This record gives sequence, C-alpha cells and structure tokens, in this order.
Amino acid sequence: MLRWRGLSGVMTLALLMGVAPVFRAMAGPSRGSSMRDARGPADYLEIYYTSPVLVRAGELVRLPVDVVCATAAGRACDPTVTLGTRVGSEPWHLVSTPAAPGLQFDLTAAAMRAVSSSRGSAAGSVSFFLKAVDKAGKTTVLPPGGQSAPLRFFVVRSLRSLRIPRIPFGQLRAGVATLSLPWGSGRSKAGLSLGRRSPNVGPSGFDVDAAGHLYLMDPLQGRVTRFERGRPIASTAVSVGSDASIAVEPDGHAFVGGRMGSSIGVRGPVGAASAQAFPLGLGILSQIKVVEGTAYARVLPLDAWIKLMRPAPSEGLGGSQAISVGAPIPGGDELVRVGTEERLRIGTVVGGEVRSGVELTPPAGLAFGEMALAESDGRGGYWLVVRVARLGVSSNDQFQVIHLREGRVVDTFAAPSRSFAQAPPLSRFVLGKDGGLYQMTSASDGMRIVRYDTRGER
Amino acid sequence: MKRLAACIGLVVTMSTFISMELLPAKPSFATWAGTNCKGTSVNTQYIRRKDAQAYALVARYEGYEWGGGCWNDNNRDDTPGQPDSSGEGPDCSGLVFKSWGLRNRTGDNGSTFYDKLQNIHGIFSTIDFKYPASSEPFFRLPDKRRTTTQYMDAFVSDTHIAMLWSWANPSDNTDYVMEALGDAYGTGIFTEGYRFDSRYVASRRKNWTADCYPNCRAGQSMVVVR
Repeated sequence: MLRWRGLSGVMTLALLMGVAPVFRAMAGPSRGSSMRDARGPADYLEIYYTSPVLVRAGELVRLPVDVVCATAAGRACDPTVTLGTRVGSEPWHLVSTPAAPGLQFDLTAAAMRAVSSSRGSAAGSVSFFLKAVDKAGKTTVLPPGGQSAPLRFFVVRSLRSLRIPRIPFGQLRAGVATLSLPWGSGRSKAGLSLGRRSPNVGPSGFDVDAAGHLYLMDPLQGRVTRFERGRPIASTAVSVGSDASIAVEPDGHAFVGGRMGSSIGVRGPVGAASAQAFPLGLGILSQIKVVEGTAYARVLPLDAWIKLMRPAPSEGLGGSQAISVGAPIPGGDELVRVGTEERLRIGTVVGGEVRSGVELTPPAGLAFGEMALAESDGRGGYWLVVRVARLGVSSNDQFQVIHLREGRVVDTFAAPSRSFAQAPPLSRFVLGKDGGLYQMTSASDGMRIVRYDTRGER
Repeated sequence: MKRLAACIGLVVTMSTFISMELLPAKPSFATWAGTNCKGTSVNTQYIRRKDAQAYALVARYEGYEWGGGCWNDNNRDDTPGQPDSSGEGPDCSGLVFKSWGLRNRTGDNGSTFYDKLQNIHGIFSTIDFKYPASSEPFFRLPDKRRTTTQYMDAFVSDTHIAMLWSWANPSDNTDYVMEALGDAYGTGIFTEGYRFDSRYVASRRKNWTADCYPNCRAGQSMVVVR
C-alpha cells in the first residue's frame, strides 16, 4: 500500500512538472525579458541640446532640446522638460512642456534683453539650465548644478562676417612628417584594430610640448609614448578607454582621460607621484586642455568645460564643479566657438563679454562640417580647422585650416580628411605648445603625424 | 519484483524530467551567446523613432561582436577582449537591424520587436543599407543636411553604419550617433563627423509611425520664451 502511495506521489509531481510550462506560457514573458510591460519608471533619462553659444542680437535664437527617456526594457517614456532662463539680475523664468520630438525653445526675446540690459556694453549673456522629469519623478538636470551653476550663451550687437576663400578639392598643402609608425605592437609601432562591419581604429590622440616632443595616446596598446625626432623616448602604461584624450603641459606633463566602465574621468599628470584621478560621471569626454597648470575637460552632452578639481567627499559629481561654455585660455579668458553647416562663429570672452567676435561662412555651394580645432593664436587671432564639404549626390570633403587676425583671413590652406584608421573628431589636429600646427593621419601601412608650415604667422 | 522494477523506472524517468524542468539548460557549446541568448521576437503593429531610440539605448556599453546581435542590460561588456567568440553585443548593422525592428526578409516594411537576448543579426549588411534595392525596407536620402535627416536615420559607408542619435548636436557641429564601433570601442553613443564625410550616405527606414502616435495632439515642438 505504501508503495502505491509513493508511486502516486511521484505521478502527481510529474503531472505538476508537465503542466508547468503551460502555466509559464500563460503568464507571459519572464521578468528578465525585454518584452515585459513597458510601464514603469525610466531607467535612462538624458538631455541633449544644441547651445547657441554666440548669437547676434535681433536674429532668431533657437535652443533644440532632446530628452531621451527609456525603461530598462528598452521602451520609450514621456517626460516633461523645464527650461530656466535668466538675463542679468532678472529672476529665473521657467517654462515647462512635454518633451516632444523636435522640441525647440525660441530664445530670441531673451537674447534681445541681454544686450538691452547691458547699458553701455555691446554684449551680454543669457543663463539657462534644463530639467527633465519622468512620470515616476526621476529627474535629470543639465548642468547638474542647475540654477546655482548654469550654462549660458553670449549675445553681441554686431559680428563681423567673412566668407572663407574657396580651395579646390584635392589642392592640399603638404605637411612634413614628424612621426611615422607602422601598425603593430611595441613602442615603435602604433596599435590598430582592423574593423569588420566597423571602422579601423588606431591611436586616439596626441599632443606636442613646448620642446616639440610628441606624445601619442595609443589606447589599444595601453600606453602614452613620448617621441623626440621620431624616436620613442619614454612610455607610460595607462588604462583608459579606446576613445581616450590627451593633453600635455608645456613641460610635458600629460593628462589622459576617457571611459572607465560606464563613466568617464581624467588622470594626471601621467607617471607623476602627484597624479590624481578626476571622476566626471556619465557622459562623453570630448577634449582635455591644460592651461597654466590646471586641467580642464570638455564633457558632452553638457557641452561645456569643467575645471578639474577633486570634489570633497560630501559633494556629488557636478554639484560644485566650475563650468564654462568657452575653452579656457591663458589669462583667465575663454574662447567660444560654435559651428553649423552655414556658419562658424568664434570670439574671446573677457570679463563676461565677447570680444573679437567673427563669423565665417562657407564658399557658395559648400557646407561647413565639424570644427576640428579652434584655438587662440596668442596674439588676438585664432586658428581654426573645419571640414568643408559638398553634400549631396556628388559629395566631397576636405579640412580647411584658417588663420584669422584682426577680423581677416591671414592664411588658409586645405588638409586631407581621409584616414585609414578612425580617431575621435576633435583629436586629429593640435596646435602644439611649440607653435606648430599638427595633424594625425593614417594609411594602410601605418600612421603619421605631420606638421604644417604656417608661414611664420603664429 | 516487476512492481519494484516499474517503480525504479518511473522514478528515473521522473528525475530526468524534473531536472530538465528545474535546472538551467546547458548550452550546446560554451559561448556567451550560447549560454545567455534565449530571447524571442514578436511582430508589432508599428514602430516609432523614439521606440527605436529607447531600444538602442539598452545596448550601450554592452560590447561588440562581429556578426552578433545579443546583449543584456548590465552596462558592461561581458566578453571583453574576446573578439569573434560568439560574445556579447551587436555589430554595426546588427544594431541597426534590431533597433529599427526590421523583419528578417526583403520586401517587408513591417516591424518586429526582438528581445535584446535574441541572438539575431538580420540579413542586411552595410552594403545593403548603402546601396538599397527598391524592395528593401529602407532607402537612401538625397543628402545629409540637418534639414533632411531625422533622428534614428543612419549614416552608412561601405563598411560601417551608425544611427543619428538626436536632433540636437554638439556646438562643434559633430553629431551624436549610436553605433557598434568595434571590439575596441564597443557599442555606445559617440560624436562623429559622418554627416560631412563623403564616404557616408544617409539611410532611412521605411514605414516609421509618427512619434506622437497614438495621441498626436499632445505636445508642441516650438516653445517661445518671453
């Protein structure tokens, strides 16, 4: 009898096991499946925007804002976005709206007030911040300091406008190779990741110190190598992401930065006992600069420069960070620049106002691409490198180097845009601390860094 | 004795059945994809750009695998330094295929939701995206100007494809793109100049549903600040 009871127990268990898949199918996808219910709080809530940076009073001023909201399951959610603006000593003005696709804020009136309120001055600025909130209350603020450390754009009453000279496609100025490395491994070679259904990837950046030494950031080999007259002199192991940036001080102390897991950060001076790590949280590290002994990082989508100081333990990332829209330059001033397909603008912020502002337009039928370099020449002028492209069916493109001084183009030439290995867009050109203009290029046999004759214009 | 033999046989059979039900299935070969990628797919009625964007965001930081198309959402590459190992992550065209919710056949403009853990690359290569036949569920745009492209369109060359991430762009006139950039970079949001690189053309999925669906009266795209 007992045996039959045992047998019936086993049969019951088997029956339960047999019907389990049926119940599981009726219950729907498992908790770990991405086909689960779309409702729920946002796991991702990110703000992207296009800063006007530098506008002329009276023109239309638009601020495109894109809030990306997604659940952990990869479902879209519908947040609300608030824009806070302030002109001069006015109170903050807040506007909230659903984050609809294609959203833009029209800031024309605020820009007009910025110059009207700055009596006796030809320039002003508008401060702003953005806040996104999803239906469950998850909040993202850009910049993280909100009203206490806002972003801003600058307004000028007038801006000198120039059309840059046309250079036929392919009419390139030849540079002098200062470093040539074959692909491979070792200090005298450059790391390469050959792409399949992806681009080839090589060194991610370089810089040049006051003595003309080259510092190559080779993340695929995990090192920064210093070269003197084309020969490796020293090499330091670093562990940063493949899109790492590098900047050196005039004496050669290097700072490197990039992705560390899902966050970004900067370390430096590389190899020094005083080296520090500067965590920057989430985002994209676009560039690093070292000015008068202080390192700065341009971070996206903040689209601003952060002065690298270690936060106190009680402070969160970004809470007390000093940010500036313009790139730091010696003397405590800022260099602001902004590009669109139709125009580039550049100027120097001195005492909170833009001076020496210039607007450039492309030759007829062409468009501006990315601004690969924008630097002060140290004498009131600017060096710019911008891709010039013909968009459409018969497209073509090349870089154009432009030296501006006193509101006119004093030198311009074209440089190649083709490269065998891809590098981050703002890492290809460097104005060295020695005064030279350098470009990193590559071909199937290796990479090289060339120096351009700037005809003593610096 | 016969009863005892029958009982033993039944217990062995049941034990086997129970172990199959309660214990995780062993992969047929020990790869990350073989172990982790059990997802399925379902055809959907519509796909909006913002759905594609939200879907792609989960793949960020999850690695790259040539020919791959499977990832989880732990924000790290579970197979770093292991190229071509049936590891985690999509390749560039696999990421676009799953994010755009394309059906795995030509001549079908409909949409499919693929579980992120379904290991599928899809039948389309970068060459297909760059030089599409009229029967393909995507087409080439006449130019790449900002006034022409919309977010979640793609920039495609002979060897690479990346999705335009946002209608907002950095002030240096690059674009935010979502791309599977290779074993070294993984999958993520990067800034690139593909829009102005003549090796790239712009490609658009056919049959997007408007982002405002199903409540197209809500929201406004221009807000005037006084």
